[in-house]
Amino acid sequence: MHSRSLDREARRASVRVAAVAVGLLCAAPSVAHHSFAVHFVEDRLVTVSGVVTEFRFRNPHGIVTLAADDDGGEWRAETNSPNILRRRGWTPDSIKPGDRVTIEGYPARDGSHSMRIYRVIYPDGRELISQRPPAGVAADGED
Amino acid sequence: MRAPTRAASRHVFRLLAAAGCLAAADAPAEDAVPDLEGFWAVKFEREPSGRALIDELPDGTVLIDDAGGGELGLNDFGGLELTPEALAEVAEYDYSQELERENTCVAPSAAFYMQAPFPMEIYQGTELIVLKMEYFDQYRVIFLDGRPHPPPDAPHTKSGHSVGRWEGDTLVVATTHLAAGTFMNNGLNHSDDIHMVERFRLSPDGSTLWLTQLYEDPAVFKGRAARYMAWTRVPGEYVYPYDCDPSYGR
Repeated sequence: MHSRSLDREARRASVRVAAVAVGLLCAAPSVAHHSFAVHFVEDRLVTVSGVVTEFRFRNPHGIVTLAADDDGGEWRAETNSPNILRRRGWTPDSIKPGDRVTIEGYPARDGSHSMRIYRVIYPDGRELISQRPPAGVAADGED
Repeated sequence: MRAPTRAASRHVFRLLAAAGCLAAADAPAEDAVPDLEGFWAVKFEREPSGRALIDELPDGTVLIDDAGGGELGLNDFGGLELTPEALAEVAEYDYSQELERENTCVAPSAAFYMQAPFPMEIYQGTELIVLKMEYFDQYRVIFLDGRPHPPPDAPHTKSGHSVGRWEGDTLVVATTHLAAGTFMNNGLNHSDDIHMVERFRLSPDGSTLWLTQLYEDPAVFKGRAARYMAWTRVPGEYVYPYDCDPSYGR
């Protein structure tokens, strides 16, 4: 590393605006883009089997709505970004209402019936991978 | 396009020179600058192939290790020392609001969206360079014509105001006027006054584009922070529309 620094002029300006910035920091809209790590448990998987009632394949995340076999309760399972999944071969028709599937995913931290999908498994063994695999499973190097 | 003035040129020169961004050598002729134009897909690296660019960051810079598919967890700020005001804001941050319909499609700024795992297209001219980002359909314009930044009270936006200059084989870009927004995806936001200096450089074979972003935001953290990113050139590919759909929200 070398000792380069941002310019003095900009630094002086930063100091001048620091007090104002503190105020702006407090007043500015502060909605962050939503995070995987904050909203989902990354070291545990849940598995839910059931019938798909709806599939939406739109950014920021696709949504699979599932009627669970165990109690008929509704699960909301979200995919990685559809743009990322398109490049892996997913389409808006990859999952259809009426499909019987098993979904493995990372559970929501708030305890709700929702998850980020790791993979969707069909009865014939076909799999759709959505998210990075859990620790210990070989990753494909992408999110 | 507004004609650059001598005063504007001097302003940008001073800015970049003081940032340590100008080499002693003269800038290359226009036809000799690297060709950044094309489609660039995020390169996921176990070890940074652009280590030299990282090594050129100022001493003491905190390198945030969350670019690409990475994320920092709750209360993990990658080694940054936050100001009391920023700590208080994070402590009061309501994560559930991110999932509300009205907030679903709020885009982050260029201080965050550049590191997202989405591709970009670059269009390169002699007086400006345009970056078309897939993530949230954002665009950046980098002026190379010597104009200064606008006055401090000019509107702040997700892409801010960027002025650039070639330093040998490196495109150095200074950005101000970024609207406050996501900085670490775990409740930490940058302020309206964040100052960002980027260094873009091609690998010798032209197949990889490296970038470091260097940030100063005294209202939020002490000292300097940076991120490193890399992309692979993929001929014949295009950025897809993002078309964020707020109905994802609850």
